[in-house]
Amino acid sequence: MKLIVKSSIYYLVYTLFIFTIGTFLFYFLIRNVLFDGIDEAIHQEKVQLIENLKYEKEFTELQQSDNIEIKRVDPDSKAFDKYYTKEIYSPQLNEYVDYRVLRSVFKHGNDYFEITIRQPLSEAEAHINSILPIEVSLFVGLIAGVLLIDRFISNKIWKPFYDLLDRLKNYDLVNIKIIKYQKSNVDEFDELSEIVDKMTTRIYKDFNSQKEFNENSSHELQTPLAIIRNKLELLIQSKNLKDEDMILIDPIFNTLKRLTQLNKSLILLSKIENNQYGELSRIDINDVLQNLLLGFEELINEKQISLDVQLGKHTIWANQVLIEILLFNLISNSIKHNTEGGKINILLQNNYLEISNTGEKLPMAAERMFERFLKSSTSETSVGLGLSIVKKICDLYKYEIDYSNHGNFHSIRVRFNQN
Amino acid sequence: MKLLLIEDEKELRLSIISYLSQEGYLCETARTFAEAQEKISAYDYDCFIVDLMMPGGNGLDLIQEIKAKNLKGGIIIISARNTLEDRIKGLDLGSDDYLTKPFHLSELNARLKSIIRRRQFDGNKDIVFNEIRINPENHDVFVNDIRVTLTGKEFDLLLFFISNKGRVLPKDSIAEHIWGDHMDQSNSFDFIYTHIKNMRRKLVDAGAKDYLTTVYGIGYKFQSE
Repeated sequence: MKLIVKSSIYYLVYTLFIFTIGTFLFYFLIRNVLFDGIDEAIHQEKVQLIENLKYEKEFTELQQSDNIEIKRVDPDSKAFDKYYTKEIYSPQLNEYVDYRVLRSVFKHGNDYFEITIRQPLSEAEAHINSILPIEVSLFVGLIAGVLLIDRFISNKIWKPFYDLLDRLKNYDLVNIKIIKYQKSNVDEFDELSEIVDKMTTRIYKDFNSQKEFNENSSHELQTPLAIIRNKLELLIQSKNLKDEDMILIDPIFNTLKRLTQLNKSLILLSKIENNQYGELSRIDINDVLQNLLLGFEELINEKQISLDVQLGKHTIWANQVLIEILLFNLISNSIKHNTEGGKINILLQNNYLEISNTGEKLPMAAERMFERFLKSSTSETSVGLGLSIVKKICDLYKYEIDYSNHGNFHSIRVRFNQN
Repeated sequence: MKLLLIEDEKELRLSIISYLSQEGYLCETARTFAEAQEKISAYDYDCFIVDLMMPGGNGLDLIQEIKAKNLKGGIIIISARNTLEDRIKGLDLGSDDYLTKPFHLSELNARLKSIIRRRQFDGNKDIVFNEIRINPENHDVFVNDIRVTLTGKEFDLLLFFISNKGRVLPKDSIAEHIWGDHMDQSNSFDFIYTHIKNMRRKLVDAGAKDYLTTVYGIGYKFQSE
């Protein structure tokens, strides 16, 4: 629920509450005022009448009136005035009508008389009854107004906020980098925009220095690695080394090789991230694949893997080195994770390439296979960066890559972008 | 043969000198850009080994200077940065080869020999090792003047061994020489073994002595003893 709707609901509930109480109070107040007026009027009429009656012996003529009634009563009757409202049947209107009535007792000579004066309330009631519709229409008008203003506010005043929200939604470090400050005429939004500007600037800076750090540290590692390797090479030339010494040195070579390869992969990843493979050319995927397969021939024969290659033609516009790495890693993986006497199917068709190979069940969840350093247990010498490099390259060129599994066949499909 | 090694990292310098001087090269060194400039203008060298990053300047500028002076020596770049631009730029400027750190000394040695061979004899000088004679240009191998047919990889192996004769060659240096550095080591060692076995058999069958010895645990050594 939008903030503005939510706050409006509170306003409206409060307004409804006040309106209801207000309407009741107003109703009773007006009613009292009107009744007081009427009571006052009939009281005056009574005083006038009693005054007039002092000079009359008999009241017969006056008794003809509809609204005044005089009758003789016991002397015991109380002499105070009593005002009340009463429904009386009106033959002319054929319905009951409310009257305001004053009953009073007065003394005339030695006799006591009760006088009843009444006055119809229809006019006052009409006044009172007109209050409710007015209040209700005021309330409806208020709601309509609030809703309209809400709409206006969210369209106009909140616009900078929603704009900023949209920009944040699409935020990424590659294309947008920094969400620039934009002035609006609302202080809070200005402040927010300023903070977002500062924050994204800082994120971008951190991201850059992180990238730089990664690249520099990997480069700085190359020289110490070179020193170790070269010293080892000199060491093994020594005539004094015994077989058991050599057995100790061999794993150092292997580990050094692993470290070197890991470092090279990290440099490659950060170079892709830093967009250092900007040079593009038209590449015939078919050609690249055939050249690579030639290089892999020995490996494939060694494992007695049968190869089924169906290559259509497809050219893309990309960096030659990256595409070679992409395809190299995919083919290399399909051999590495294959079983003895297994199969590899390579299909290049339309705008996609599918490489499938037989192999053991995945040791990890399929959706995690492109993560860094996620290794299968069978190949302890691999660094675990091959597929994340593949993914990086695909991301760079916006190629879709997905994995599927049919029986013991693992397939990776790369859908090249039309460009 | 006189070499100029331009490298600011002391230990690397020492290792390279140690390995190469055993091959009979006279190695001079320069640690900074200025020192390198001085030596380039003062002496003649058969080959320059140039690190691209050094105190006081960029190795690429040095290569430009060497070329501008029309010096006859070959140039090998050794760099920690493996960028395509550096590589292309270095080769465009006229350097003969590009090695990325960390490299094997045996690899540097083999490349150095091949450059000197190319530059001084147009590659047409046969390499002779006792009864084995190699023509590197035509990829021909003769044992006692009888031609032996080797596959491309077997030929590369033999040339690599003879370039580094008398040295213990670790398996991964051999694998990298043959397949480059992105081949998985676990697989490549098996293949080295197969290729070496075949090469050895062909040479011995043709009447050559078996010069190759296995160095337990580490790799191989090619020597005439």
